[in-house]
Amino acid sequence: MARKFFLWMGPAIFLLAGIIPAAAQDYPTKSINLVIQYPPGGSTDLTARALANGARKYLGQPVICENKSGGGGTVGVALVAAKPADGYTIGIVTSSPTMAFHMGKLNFHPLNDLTPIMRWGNYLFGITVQADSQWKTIQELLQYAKQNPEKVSYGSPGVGTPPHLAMEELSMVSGLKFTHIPAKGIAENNTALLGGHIEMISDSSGWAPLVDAGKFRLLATWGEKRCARYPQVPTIRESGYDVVARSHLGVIGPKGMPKPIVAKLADAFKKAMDDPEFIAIMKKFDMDFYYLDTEDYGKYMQSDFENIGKLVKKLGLDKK
Amino acid sequence: MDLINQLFLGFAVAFQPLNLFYCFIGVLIGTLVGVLPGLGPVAAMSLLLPATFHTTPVAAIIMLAGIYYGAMYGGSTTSILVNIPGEAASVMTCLDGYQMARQGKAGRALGISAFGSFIAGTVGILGLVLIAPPLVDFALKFGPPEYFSLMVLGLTILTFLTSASMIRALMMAAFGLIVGTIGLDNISGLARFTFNIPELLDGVGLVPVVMGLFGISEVLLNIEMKIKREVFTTKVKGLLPTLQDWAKSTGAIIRGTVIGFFLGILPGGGAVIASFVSYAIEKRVSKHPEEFGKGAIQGVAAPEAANNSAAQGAFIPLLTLGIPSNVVMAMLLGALIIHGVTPGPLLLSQHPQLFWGVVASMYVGNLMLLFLNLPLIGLWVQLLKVPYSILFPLIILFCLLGSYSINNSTTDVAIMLVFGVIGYLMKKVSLEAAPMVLAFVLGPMMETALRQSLIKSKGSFSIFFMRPISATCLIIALALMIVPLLPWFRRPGVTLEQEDVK
Repeated sequence: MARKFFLWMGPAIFLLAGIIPAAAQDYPTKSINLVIQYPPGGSTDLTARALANGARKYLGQPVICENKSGGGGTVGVALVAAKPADGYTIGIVTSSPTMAFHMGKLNFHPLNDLTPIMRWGNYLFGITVQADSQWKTIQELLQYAKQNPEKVSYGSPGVGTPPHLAMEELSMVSGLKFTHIPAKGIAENNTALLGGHIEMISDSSGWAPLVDAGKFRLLATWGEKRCARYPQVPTIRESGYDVVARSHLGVIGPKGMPKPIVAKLADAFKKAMDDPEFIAIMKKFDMDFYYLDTEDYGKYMQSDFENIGKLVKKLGLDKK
Repeated sequence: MDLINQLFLGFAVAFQPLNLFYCFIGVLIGTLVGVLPGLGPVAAMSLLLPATFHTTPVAAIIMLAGIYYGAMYGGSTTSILVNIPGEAASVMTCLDGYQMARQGKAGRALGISAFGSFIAGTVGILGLVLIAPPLVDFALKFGPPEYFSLMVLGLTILTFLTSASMIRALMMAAFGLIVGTIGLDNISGLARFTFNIPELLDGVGLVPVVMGLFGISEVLLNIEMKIKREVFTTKVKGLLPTLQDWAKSTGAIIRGTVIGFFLGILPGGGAVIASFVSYAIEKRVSKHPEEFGKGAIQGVAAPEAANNSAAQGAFIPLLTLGIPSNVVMAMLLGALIIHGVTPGPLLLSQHPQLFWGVVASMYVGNLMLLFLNLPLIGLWVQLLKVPYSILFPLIILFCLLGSYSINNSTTDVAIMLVFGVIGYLMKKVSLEAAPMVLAFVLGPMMETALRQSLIKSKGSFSIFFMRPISATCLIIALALMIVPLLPWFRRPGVTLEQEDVK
């Protein structure tokens, strides 16, 4: 009798606890899960963890990072999109899901199924050649490509990645033709360039130590401005073609998150960007500080979506 | 000589109490992680990475490296005891190691595996120190055409892996190739065989597949047969390898070490392929190839030596060029960057203490592992005396946990179970798993290399024959395929058809 009472008392208490909604003023009352969509130890993982650590003091609760990699950075985001929008599961995102969506490979909508929280960073992408290459400046490379269509082969980290799409956009805008040899990441590209199997790579900053060691020459970077580490290297924009690699790093949550919770998270992460450990790690990986608040980030995601859509369509990479 | 000075510097660094401590922790955790099926060194390293932030870069790398090569030691334990590869590189050890365990020779198998790993690791470190730079230059000459031809050579070697019908082996290889195509194709961007399951976009994981094919299927088989397991409860004859074992295994260890080291250096190569190739070659050069698969000690010694020297070889591209040759090295790269050390060609000149300290501590680590593993053999052997009805649920539990822990994904668990059933069915009709696994590993790399080469050559196949290294590999592969057919090369004991023996 008493036993039966306690037997259903337990589940009843749990049910009650679930029904009472967590008021936004009390948020967060327990630890928050941050899903990182790339494997541990990489640049995204380590900088995101530093950001999460920094945010912890402003949120008052630990931000526990979990790696769910796969699908070129889409599996982790898909998992976040499927979670309840209570602010206890958030994730890191790049432009990859948007690209995958337009290429017909995503099972959720990168705009409608996610709540933008804030944007914090960007990778450094660039074009490198061997140190003893015949091209000493980006102008020489572009000139050569003009006179020898499809003779210049370049490696990229894979089809649909930002450095690849940036090269394709450059092709479109300039009329130059390159031969694209996709690889599976910067390590493969570095090896191939070192061995002389390709003549140039368009990839993220994993080439930096080899540039510093004098084995590679960095011809140009893909950002809007010159990068801090190599201020003497021009951007592609400066060479006359207004092309920028479309990429960013942001924090998102599932769709329909309550505004006060989003505001609290956005505020905490913004303050975390000033954390000295975060700044140090970002510098180590040559990442850009690329802040946008919630509203502007939402607008950015919208325009990113449209721009990438147009690009993918023009390049014929969409499968629809 | 300058090199001796550097080595002394390295040992001075390695023997600092802090570094010794971290080395021990690393190899201890590595061994545990290797023993537990599924949980691999990457998971352990990522968990411990934040703990290293508060120590010196040298100590951090020493510990993380220790986890990696420690796992190679531990991975053979479950392979031998219960036919579950603790690590993908320990798959080949299952074939003969487990059979030896069933014959009461588990201690000897574990022993030769530990010693072989130690010898291979030590030689690997010597190689790293002495011949790394010219070797790296040679490895860099391997572009997509060379990789393709090397993979073709690797696949022809699989013909040596079979103990039975060639047709069955080729069937399994074809199956492996098909399973290898599952996922997002890197070159065209098309998703193949993913059935809209996002977790399959990265393909089917190797570890869940081998855990299923070897481990789960074995459990299923045993449950079905309800073996009384008297074989295991008889007194285990001797815990250490006998002199005879040593005599037989010396050649295997040497060959395994050399093969493993070279394959470990190739970016994209690695311990898994090294273990397969060394097993196959060992079988080929043996005077009694029919013993392989039934408990030949060389079948344990060779792959174990290979996977350890490959682990040492894998450090070379990272430490000399800053290029990680596998996922584990990529983690170390990230760890180094966090500590403010950027690996690259300048690492040796800018941080000689780090370089030589890590190299010296690898030797210390290997020594520690030998002393850790040998006494444990007695303990592991006791495990075999546990009644199977208690053992097998524990095995399945560890497999389930282990396969989930790889990527925090239930898809991996599902894959393991599916391949467990497939493996069980395969065993029922005596289809071998080893050719399938080899093709599964080599297939995707081969396909990517083929297509990259053809993009470069604009569709011309001559690229494979115009480049010397590539042409050499292809010619060797062709020779290996044709030679066994020629009558005057036919080896005694290998019959293509029934022959009368008078």
